[in-house]
Amino acid sequence: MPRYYFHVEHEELGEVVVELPDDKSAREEAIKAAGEILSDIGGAFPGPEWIMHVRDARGNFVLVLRFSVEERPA
Amino acid sequence: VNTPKPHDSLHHLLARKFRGYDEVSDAEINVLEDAIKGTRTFAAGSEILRTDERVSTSCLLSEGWAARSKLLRDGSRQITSIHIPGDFVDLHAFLLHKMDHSVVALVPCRIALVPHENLKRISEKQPHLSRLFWVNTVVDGAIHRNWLTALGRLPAANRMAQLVCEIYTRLAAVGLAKDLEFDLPLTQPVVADALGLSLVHVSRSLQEIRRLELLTWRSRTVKILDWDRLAEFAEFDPTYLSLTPEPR
Repeated sequence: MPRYYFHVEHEELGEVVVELPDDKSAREEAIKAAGEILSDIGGAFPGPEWIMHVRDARGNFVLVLRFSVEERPA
Repeated sequence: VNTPKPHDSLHHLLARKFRGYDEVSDAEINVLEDAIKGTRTFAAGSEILRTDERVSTSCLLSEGWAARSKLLRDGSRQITSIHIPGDFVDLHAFLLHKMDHSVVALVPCRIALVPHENLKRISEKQPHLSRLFWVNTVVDGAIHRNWLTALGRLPAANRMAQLVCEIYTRLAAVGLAKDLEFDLPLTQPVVADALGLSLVHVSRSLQEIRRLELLTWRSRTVKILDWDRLAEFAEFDPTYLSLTPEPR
Protein backbone atom coordinates (compact mmCIF):
# COMPACT_ATOMS: atom_id res chain seq x y z
CA MET A 1 0.00 0.00 0.00
CA PRO A 2 1.20 3.56 -0.68
CA ARG A 3 2.69 5.54 2.17
CA TYR A 4 1.37 8.93 3.22
CA TYR A 5 3.19 11.44 5.39
CA PHE A 6 1.17 13.52 7.87
CA HIS A 7 2.73 16.59 9.41
CA VAL A 8 1.34 19.27 11.67
CA GLU A 9 3.09 22.64 11.41
CA HIS A 10 4.81 24.27 14.38
CA GLU A 11 4.94 21.41 16.82
CA GLU A 12 7.60 19.22 18.37
CA LEU A 13 6.24 15.90 17.08
CA GLY A 14 7.67 14.79 13.76
CA GLU A 15 5.63 13.64 10.81
CA VAL A 16 3.90 10.26 10.93
CA VAL A 17 3.80 7.73 8.14
CA VAL A 18 0.71 5.63 7.47
CA GLU A 19 0.09 3.11 4.72
CA LEU A 20 -3.28 3.63 3.05
CA PRO A 21 -4.88 2.27 -0.13
CA ASP A 22 -5.26 5.56 -2.02
CA ASP A 23 -5.64 9.35 -1.91
CA LYS A 24 -9.32 9.05 -1.05
CA SER A 25 -8.52 7.03 2.10
CA ALA A 26 -5.73 9.48 2.94
CA ARG A 27 -8.29 12.30 2.80
CA GLU A 28 -10.69 10.42 5.08
CA GLU A 29 -7.90 9.50 7.49
CA ALA A 30 -6.57 13.08 7.56
CA ILE A 31 -9.94 14.64 8.34
CA LYS A 32 -10.67 12.10 11.06
CA ALA A 33 -7.19 12.53 12.57
CA ALA A 34 -7.49 16.34 12.47
CA GLY A 35 -10.73 16.11 14.43
CA GLU A 36 -9.14 13.85 17.04
CA ILE A 37 -6.01 15.98 17.36
CA LEU A 38 -7.98 19.22 17.76
CA SER A 39 -10.34 17.57 20.20
CA ASP A 40 -7.37 16.56 22.39
CA ILE A 41 -5.92 20.08 22.23
CA GLY A 42 -9.29 21.52 23.27
CA GLY A 43 -9.11 24.86 25.09
CA ALA A 44 -5.30 24.75 24.97
CA PHE A 45 -5.43 25.54 21.23
CA PRO A 46 -2.68 28.13 20.81
CA GLY A 47 -4.24 29.66 17.71
CA PRO A 48 -4.71 31.41 15.48
CA GLU A 49 -4.23 28.69 12.85
CA TRP A 50 -3.57 24.95 12.83
CA ILE A 51 -2.27 23.37 9.64
CA MET A 52 -1.70 19.75 8.70
CA HIS A 53 -0.03 18.67 5.45
CA VAL A 54 -0.39 15.29 3.84
CA ARG A 55 2.21 14.26 1.28
CA ASP A 56 2.56 11.13 -0.81
CA ALA A 57 5.71 9.01 -1.14
CA ARG A 58 7.04 11.27 -3.92
CA GLY A 59 6.76 14.29 -1.65
CA ASN A 60 3.78 15.81 -3.47
CA PHE A 61 1.16 17.52 -1.35
CA VAL A 62 -2.07 15.54 -1.40
CA LEU A 63 -3.91 17.73 1.08
CA VAL A 64 -3.59 20.74 3.32
CA LEU A 65 -5.98 20.94 6.25
CA ARG A 66 -6.57 24.21 8.05
CA PHE A 67 -8.42 25.15 11.19
CA SER A 68 -8.53 28.65 12.60
CA VAL A 69 -10.00 30.40 15.58
CA GLU A 70 -10.76 34.07 15.22
CA GLU A 71 -11.35 36.06 18.38
CA ARG A 72 -13.86 38.86 17.90
CA PRO A 73 -14.16 41.64 20.42
CA ALA A 74 -17.68 41.93 21.79
CA VAL B 1 7.73 -40.78 37.80
CA ASN B 2 6.62 -37.20 37.70
CA THR B 3 5.15 -36.86 34.22
CA PRO B 4 3.76 -33.40 33.57
CA LYS B 5 0.10 -33.46 32.71
CA PRO B 6 -0.83 -31.99 29.32
CA HIS B 7 -2.49 -29.03 31.04
CA ASP B 8 0.37 -28.49 33.49
CA SER B 9 1.06 -24.90 32.45
CA LEU B 10 -2.68 -24.25 32.35
CA HIS B 11 -2.94 -25.50 35.94
CA HIS B 12 -0.39 -22.89 37.01
CA LEU B 13 -2.09 -20.23 34.94
CA LEU B 14 -5.50 -20.95 36.52
CA ALA B 15 -3.94 -21.03 39.98
CA ARG B 16 -2.24 -17.65 39.41
CA LYS B 17 -5.39 -16.17 37.93
CA PHE B 18 -7.88 -17.22 40.61
CA ARG B 19 -5.46 -16.79 43.52
CA GLY B 20 -5.26 -13.17 42.45
CA TYR B 21 -8.86 -12.86 43.69
CA ASP B 22 -8.88 -15.05 46.81
CA GLU B 23 -7.31 -18.06 48.50
CA VAL B 24 -8.06 -21.05 46.31
CA SER B 25 -7.30 -24.66 47.27
CA ASP B 26 -5.48 -27.10 44.99
CA ALA B 27 -8.67 -29.20 45.00
CA GLU B 28 -10.59 -26.21 43.58
CA ILE B 29 -7.96 -25.65 40.89
CA ASN B 30 -8.29 -29.34 40.00
CA VAL B 31 -12.06 -28.94 39.66
CA LEU B 32 -11.45 -26.08 37.22
CA GLU B 33 -8.93 -28.11 35.29
CA ASP B 34 -11.19 -31.16 35.15
CA ALA B 35 -13.95 -29.00 33.68
CA ILE B 36 -11.80 -28.51 30.55
CA LYS B 37 -12.67 -30.87 27.73
CA GLY B 38 -10.20 -30.51 24.92
CA THR B 39 -8.36 -27.66 23.27
CA ARG B 40 -8.52 -25.91 19.90
CA THR B 41 -6.00 -23.76 18.11
CA PHE B 42 -6.75 -20.68 16.04
CA ALA B 43 -4.58 -18.90 13.47
CA ALA B 44 -3.75 -15.22 13.92
CA GLY B 45 -6.59 -13.09 12.57
CA SER B 46 -9.19 -15.85 12.70
CA GLU B 47 -12.47 -15.65 14.58
CA ILE B 48 -12.66 -17.75 17.74
CA LEU B 49 -16.33 -16.85 18.19
CA ARG B 50 -18.74 -15.18 15.80
CA THR B 51 -21.39 -12.59 16.58
CA ASP B 52 -24.85 -14.21 16.84
CA GLU B 53 -23.31 -17.65 17.37
CA ARG B 54 -25.07 -19.79 19.99
CA VAL B 55 -22.51 -21.31 22.30
CA SER B 56 -22.58 -24.27 24.67
CA THR B 57 -18.88 -24.17 25.54
CA SER B 58 -16.85 -21.44 27.16
CA CYS B 59 -13.39 -20.56 25.88
CA LEU B 60 -10.47 -20.21 28.25
CA LEU B 61 -7.49 -18.64 26.51
CA SER B 62 -4.46 -20.75 27.38
CA GLU B 63 -1.96 -19.35 24.86
CA GLY B 64 -1.94 -16.23 22.72
CA TRP B 65 -3.79 -12.92 22.65
CA ALA B 66 -7.41 -12.37 21.67
CA ALA B 67 -9.83 -9.47 21.50
CA ARG B 68 -13.56 -9.03 21.90
CA SER B 69 -14.78 -6.92 19.05
CA LYS B 70 -17.92 -5.48 17.50
CA LEU B 71 -18.30 -4.71 13.82
CA LEU B 72 -20.17 -1.78 12.33
CA ARG B 73 -22.01 -1.61 9.03
CA ASP B 74 -19.28 0.39 7.30
CA GLY B 75 -16.76 -2.35 8.09
CA SER B 76 -15.06 -0.55 10.95
CA ARG B 77 -14.71 -2.29 14.25
CA GLN B 78 -14.33 -1.44 17.91
CA ILE B 79 -12.24 -3.74 20.08
CA THR B 80 -13.92 -3.74 23.49
CA SER B 81 -11.31 -5.71 25.44
CA ILE B 82 -7.99 -7.46 24.98
CA HIS B 83 -7.40 -10.91 26.43
CA ILE B 84 -4.29 -12.64 27.64
CA PRO B 85 -3.67 -16.24 28.72
CA GLY B 86 -5.78 -17.24 31.72
CA ASP B 87 -8.77 -15.15 30.57
CA PHE B 88 -12.17 -16.61 29.84
CA VAL B 89 -13.07 -14.73 26.67
CA ASP B 90 -16.79 -15.56 26.92
CA LEU B 91 -17.70 -16.63 30.44
CA HIS B 92 -20.76 -14.34 30.22
CA ALA B 93 -22.05 -16.51 27.35
CA PHE B 94 -22.58 -19.33 29.87
CA LEU B 95 -25.68 -17.34 30.88
CA LEU B 96 -26.31 -15.30 27.73
CA HIS B 97 -25.96 -18.24 25.26
CA LYS B 98 -25.86 -16.08 22.13
CA MET B 99 -22.78 -14.01 21.33
CA ASP B 100 -23.41 -10.27 21.00
CA HIS B 101 -19.84 -9.70 19.82
CA SER B 102 -17.08 -11.67 18.19
CA VAL B 103 -13.77 -12.84 19.61
CA VAL B 104 -10.74 -12.71 17.33
CA ALA B 105 -7.30 -14.26 17.68
CA LEU B 106 -4.71 -11.45 17.51
CA VAL B 107 -1.86 -13.99 17.30
CA PRO B 108 -1.98 -17.80 17.11
CA CYS B 109 -4.14 -18.90 20.04
CA ARG B 110 -4.85 -22.05 21.97
CA ILE B 111 -8.23 -22.31 23.63
CA ALA B 112 -9.21 -24.70 26.42
CA LEU B 113 -12.85 -25.67 25.98
CA VAL B 114 -15.12 -25.72 29.03
CA PRO B 115 -18.57 -27.19 28.26
CA HIS B 116 -21.39 -25.21 29.83
CA GLU B 117 -22.74 -28.39 31.45
CA ASN B 118 -19.48 -28.53 33.46
CA LEU B 119 -19.85 -24.88 34.46
CA LYS B 120 -23.42 -25.66 35.48
CA ARG B 121 -22.22 -28.54 37.65
CA ILE B 122 -19.63 -26.25 39.28
CA SER B 123 -22.36 -23.66 39.92
CA GLU B 124 -24.40 -26.32 41.71
CA LYS B 125 -21.65 -28.00 43.72
CA GLN B 126 -18.94 -25.38 44.26
CA PRO B 127 -20.30 -22.12 45.68
CA HIS B 128 -16.87 -20.59 46.25
CA LEU B 129 -15.66 -21.31 42.71
CA SER B 130 -18.96 -20.01 41.39
CA ARG B 131 -18.37 -16.74 43.21
CA LEU B 132 -14.89 -16.57 41.71
CA PHE B 133 -16.40 -16.97 38.23
CA TRP B 134 -18.75 -14.18 39.22
CA VAL B 135 -15.76 -12.05 40.25
CA ASN B 136 -14.22 -12.83 36.87
CA THR B 137 -17.23 -11.53 34.94
CA VAL B 138 -17.75 -8.47 37.14
CA VAL B 139 -14.07 -7.59 36.71
CA ASP B 140 -14.67 -7.86 32.94
CA GLY B 141 -17.47 -5.33 33.48
CA ALA B 142 -15.15 -3.08 35.50
CA ILE B 143 -12.58 -3.24 32.68
CA HIS B 144 -15.27 -2.24 30.17
CA ARG B 145 -16.32 0.72 32.40
CA ASN B 146 -12.74 1.84 32.57
CA TRP B 147 -12.32 1.59 28.78
CA LEU B 148 -15.59 3.46 28.28
CA THR B 149 -14.40 6.30 30.50
CA ALA B 150 -11.02 6.44 28.76
CA LEU B 151 -12.63 6.32 25.30
CA GLY B 152 -15.13 9.01 26.14
CA ARG B 153 -12.96 11.42 28.05
CA LEU B 154 -9.21 10.83 28.02
CA PRO B 155 -6.94 12.35 25.38
CA ALA B 156 -5.49 9.74 23.02
CA ALA B 157 -1.94 9.57 24.42
CA ASN B 158 -3.21 9.15 27.99
CA ARG B 159 -5.68 6.54 26.77
CA MET B 160 -2.88 4.62 25.10
CA ALA B 161 -0.76 4.85 28.28
CA GLN B 162 -3.71 3.49 30.25
CA LEU B 163 -3.99 0.49 27.92
CA VAL B 164 -0.29 -0.25 28.45
CA CYS B 165 -0.67 0.06 32.25
CA GLU B 166 -3.68 -2.25 32.27
CA ILE B 167 -2.11 -4.91 30.09
CA TYR B 168 1.16 -4.90 32.02
CA THR B 169 -0.68 -5.17 35.35
CA ARG B 170 -2.82 -8.06 34.11
CA LEU B 171 0.16 -9.88 32.58
CA ALA B 172 2.22 -9.45 35.76
CA ALA B 173 -0.69 -10.80 37.85
CA VAL B 174 -0.57 -14.14 36.03
CA GLY B 175 3.23 -14.24 35.92
CA LEU B 176 3.57 -13.40 32.23
CA ALA B 177 5.48 -10.15 32.64
CA LYS B 178 7.92 -8.69 35.10
CA ASP B 179 10.51 -5.94 35.48
CA LEU B 180 8.39 -3.52 33.44
CA GLU B 181 9.19 -5.23 30.15
CA PHE B 182 6.83 -7.34 28.07
CA ASP B 183 5.89 -8.68 24.68
CA LEU B 184 2.97 -6.68 23.25
CA PRO B 185 1.88 -8.26 19.96
CA LEU B 186 -0.59 -5.51 19.01
CA THR B 187 -0.27 -3.92 15.58
CA GLN B 188 -1.10 -0.22 15.19
CA PRO B 189 -4.43 -1.01 13.45
CA VAL B 190 -5.39 -3.18 16.45
CA VAL B 191 -4.42 -0.40 18.86
CA ALA B 192 -6.45 2.04 16.73
CA ASP B 193 -9.51 -0.23 16.94
CA ALA B 194 -9.06 -0.66 20.69
CA LEU B 195 -8.65 3.06 21.37
CA GLY B 196 -11.21 4.21 18.80
CA LEU B 197 -8.63 6.34 16.97
CA SER B 198 -7.30 6.95 13.47
CA LEU B 199 -3.95 5.37 12.57
CA VAL B 200 -2.43 8.84 12.32
CA HIS B 201 -3.42 9.75 15.86
CA VAL B 202 -2.29 6.37 17.22
CA SER B 203 1.09 6.93 15.65
CA ARG B 204 1.30 10.50 16.97
CA SER B 205 0.20 9.45 20.45
CA LEU B 206 2.89 6.78 20.57
CA GLN B 207 5.44 9.41 19.48
CA GLU B 208 4.27 11.66 22.28
CA ILE B 209 4.57 8.94 24.93
CA ARG B 210 8.07 8.12 23.67
CA ARG B 211 9.02 11.79 23.66
CA LEU B 212 7.93 12.04 27.30
CA GLU B 213 10.27 9.07 27.97
CA LEU B 214 7.50 7.04 29.60
CA LEU B 215 8.18 3.91 27.56
CA THR B 216 9.85 2.42 24.53
CA TRP B 217 7.92 0.21 22.10
CA ARG B 218 10.11 -1.50 19.50
CA SER B 219 8.53 -4.10 17.24
CA ARG B 220 6.72 -6.17 19.87
CA THR B 221 8.64 -5.27 23.01
CA VAL B 222 7.42 -2.62 25.40
CA LYS B 223 9.71 -1.36 28.12
CA ILE B 224 8.17 0.93 30.71
CA LEU B 225 10.82 3.47 31.68
CA ASP B 226 9.10 5.00 34.69
CA TRP B 227 6.04 3.21 36.07
CA ASP B 228 4.95 6.00 38.42
CA ARG B 229 5.09 8.68 35.75
CA LEU B 230 3.34 6.44 33.22
CA ALA B 231 0.55 5.55 35.67
CA GLU B 232 0.17 9.22 36.61
CA PHE B 233 0.00 10.27 32.95
CA ALA B 234 -2.51 7.46 32.24
CA GLU B 235 -4.64 8.26 35.33
CA PHE B 236 -4.28 4.53 35.99
CA ASP B 237 -5.61 3.17 39.28
CA PRO B 238 -5.55 -0.66 39.33
CA THR B 239 -8.41 -0.93 41.86
CA TYR B 240 -10.87 -1.89 39.10
CA LEU B 241 -8.84 -5.02 38.32
CA SER B 242 -9.51 -6.38 41.86
CA LEU B 243 -6.08 -7.98 42.12
CA THR B 244 -5.87 -7.96 45.91
CA PRO B 245 -6.76 -11.43 47.22
CA GLU B 246 -9.53 -11.30 49.79
CA PRO B 247 -12.43 -13.54 50.85
CA ARG B 248 -15.08 -13.54 48.12
